[in-house]
Amino acid sequence: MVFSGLPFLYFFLPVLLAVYFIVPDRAKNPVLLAFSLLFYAAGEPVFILLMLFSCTQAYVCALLMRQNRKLWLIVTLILSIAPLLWFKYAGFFAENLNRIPGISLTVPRLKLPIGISFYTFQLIGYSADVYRGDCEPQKSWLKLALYVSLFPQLIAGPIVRYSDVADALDHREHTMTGFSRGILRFSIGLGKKVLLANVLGEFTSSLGQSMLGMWAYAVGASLQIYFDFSGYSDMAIGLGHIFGFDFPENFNYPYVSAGIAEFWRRWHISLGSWFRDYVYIPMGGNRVRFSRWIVNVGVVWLLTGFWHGAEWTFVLWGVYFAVLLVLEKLCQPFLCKIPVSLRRIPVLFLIMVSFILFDSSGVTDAWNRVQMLFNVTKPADPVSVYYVRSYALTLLAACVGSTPHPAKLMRTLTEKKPAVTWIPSVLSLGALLISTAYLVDGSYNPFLYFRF
Amino acid sequence: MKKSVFALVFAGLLFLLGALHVILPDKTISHTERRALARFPAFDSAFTENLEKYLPDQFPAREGFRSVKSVFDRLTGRLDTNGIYDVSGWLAPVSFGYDESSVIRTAERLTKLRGMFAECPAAVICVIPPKTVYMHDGVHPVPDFGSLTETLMRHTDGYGFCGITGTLSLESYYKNDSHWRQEMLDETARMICSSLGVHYVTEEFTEHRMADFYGVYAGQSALPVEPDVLVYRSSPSIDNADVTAVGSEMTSVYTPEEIGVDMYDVFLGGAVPVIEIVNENGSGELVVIRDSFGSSLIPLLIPSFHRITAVDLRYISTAYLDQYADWDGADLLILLSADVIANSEMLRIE
Repeated sequence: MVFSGLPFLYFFLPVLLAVYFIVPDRAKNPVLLAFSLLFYAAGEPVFILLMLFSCTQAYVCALLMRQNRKLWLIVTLILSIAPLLWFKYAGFFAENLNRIPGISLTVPRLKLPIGISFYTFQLIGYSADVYRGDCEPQKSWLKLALYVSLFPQLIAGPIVRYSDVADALDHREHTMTGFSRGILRFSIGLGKKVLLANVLGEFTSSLGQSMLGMWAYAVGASLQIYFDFSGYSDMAIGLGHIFGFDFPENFNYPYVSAGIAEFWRRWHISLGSWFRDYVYIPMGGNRVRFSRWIVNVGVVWLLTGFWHGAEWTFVLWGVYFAVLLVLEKLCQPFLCKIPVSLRRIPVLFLIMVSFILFDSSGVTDAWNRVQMLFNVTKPADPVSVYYVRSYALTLLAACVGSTPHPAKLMRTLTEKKPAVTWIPSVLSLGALLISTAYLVDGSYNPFLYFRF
Repeated sequence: MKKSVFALVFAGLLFLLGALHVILPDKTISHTERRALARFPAFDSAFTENLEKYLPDQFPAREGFRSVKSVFDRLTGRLDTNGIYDVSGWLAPVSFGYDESSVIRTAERLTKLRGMFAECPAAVICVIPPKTVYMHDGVHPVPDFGSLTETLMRHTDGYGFCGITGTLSLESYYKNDSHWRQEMLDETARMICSSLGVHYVTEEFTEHRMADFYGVYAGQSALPVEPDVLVYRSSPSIDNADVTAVGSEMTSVYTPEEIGVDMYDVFLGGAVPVIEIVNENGSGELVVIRDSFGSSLIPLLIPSFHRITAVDLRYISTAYLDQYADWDGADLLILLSADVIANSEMLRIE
């Protein structure tokens, strides 16, 4: 089940809203847990048991840390990471080890449990926070299970820290302001996903093979992945507000970044901050000598790339960013003299190339695509010309929408002219109805980050 | 809008549409899309996947929502909606060109077919141009029909060619459908008969009009369009013809009482693999290897022949033709549209 699907919008969500707001406060957590498990079961009934196992072992180990912190931290880390390693990476390692002469391992073909990368990181973060004394272990298994399985963020983030929701698990305020704020945010996300990301997906899959086609693909795919992922995050955050939770922001207009490091402070913020707090800083961060810092950056980005998928393209993608970050640091004295607006252009290009790499079937495919960007022998083809013309307004809207300007304009307008505060609400209802129209006419449209 | 009103309207919409989905009875067919709509899935391992198909198919006010989507596409500058575009009211699909290798394969298969019909004294290929040939607007791509026919001619053996492009215009086609209008095909029928060395016999036609014809492109585009009027022509020879068909109980050339989702099926009953039409007063025999375009043209040829055997090789293989058709001494007409020519796998020539 996906948020931008008819089953969720018109069956799961209304029924959940009805039940949740009717039951008394003490029943709200069990209701939310039950519906979250139902949500997960709609896609992966068998792997519910795995998720519940992971949650239970983290729950028990956190409580036992009172006696022997280090031992139970190690135990829970092993039990949390083992399923992720097995389901996500066993096949990759077996395939690559088989390239060594004399080794012939059976390559397991395993289905990846939905959301395992996200909830595993949440559990590791929780265990580490308990170990460090940053939070008390949760005494209620139900509340911990709810934290892990809460459907808004279960399958594609944001990676919510336990401390972000600990208080809300015990007590939440449900106000009309919070509810309508949540709905507004949810519908913005729905519009981003259905009216922009999905449409851009149609665009990128229609293009021909030429320099124009490749540039159009690169721009379109970069915008598509942004609106798909940030749209999902908006929906998750909106749903959180509806049910009284405050999830962290996951995107902050990353395409206005004037540097790679800045980009990663604005893109998939919850993942970047997780790696910062649980890998980079424990390794010493940047408070080490320069050569060690390069190792720290390399390890973090290797892991980040690998987190996205068990393919060499993802590893290469991580290494690509590690190299860029090191080079950016080395060139900082020179770069800071260049105006911010000019610095954005090469950053956008480098990000675009990274998404070409991210989306390629292999290293050779990625290289061929990058070469096509500069293939002046075939500047354009009729198919690409047609579709660039056809989707020009959508591309323009997406480019503008990826900047802070529309939101700033709306805020300014509603602050200066209170009479027009109805505009966001009307746009929100419009987004719901038009998105529904697209969903009725279209077909199944999963999120791109679903596969992680 | 007050926060409470907005929140209630939003939640209300979710409840209302969900409730209507459950309460309203399921529809079985979409007339605009010409297909069966998904039914509620069985509770098996594919339940979730099938539910994703069922829910949009049976969504309340489905046609209205599809139109909203098409209109929104238009407003956002899209040059087509669901792959269909509009030039002065005529709808057509976006198409960038034909697969030359597929055309060559079709040519080879038609040459093989000629070998199966070696006894036929005359054999003519007539490729039906798509309406887009007459719809140049400088914006939408138009596949190169001339190149397709040239490639076909170069790679086939044993056939004469009948070019009919000059006998047609945009008005020869329905606005909302891929097919041509029977009432505009006199010149085309005459040209075809001439290419076979046969005199084209004309009779006094009576025109029958069927209003509200929403063709295939109307449904696909989901745009609010004016329907066409479908006209079929009868004459003494057509009305009195003996009709027998494989896979159908039709006994007349036109079947207005038995049309399903596609009104165009009034012509020769729609998708029927083999039809034999006998005109006691005619002379000469003709085998027509045809597609759906042939359904509306073949009735006009009835006065000119004693027996016409219409074969649709998309629905029957040549391996079984012996059982259903006798073409000793018959002329052979390959009457196929460009789309079928460009998709060689559609023809079951073995």
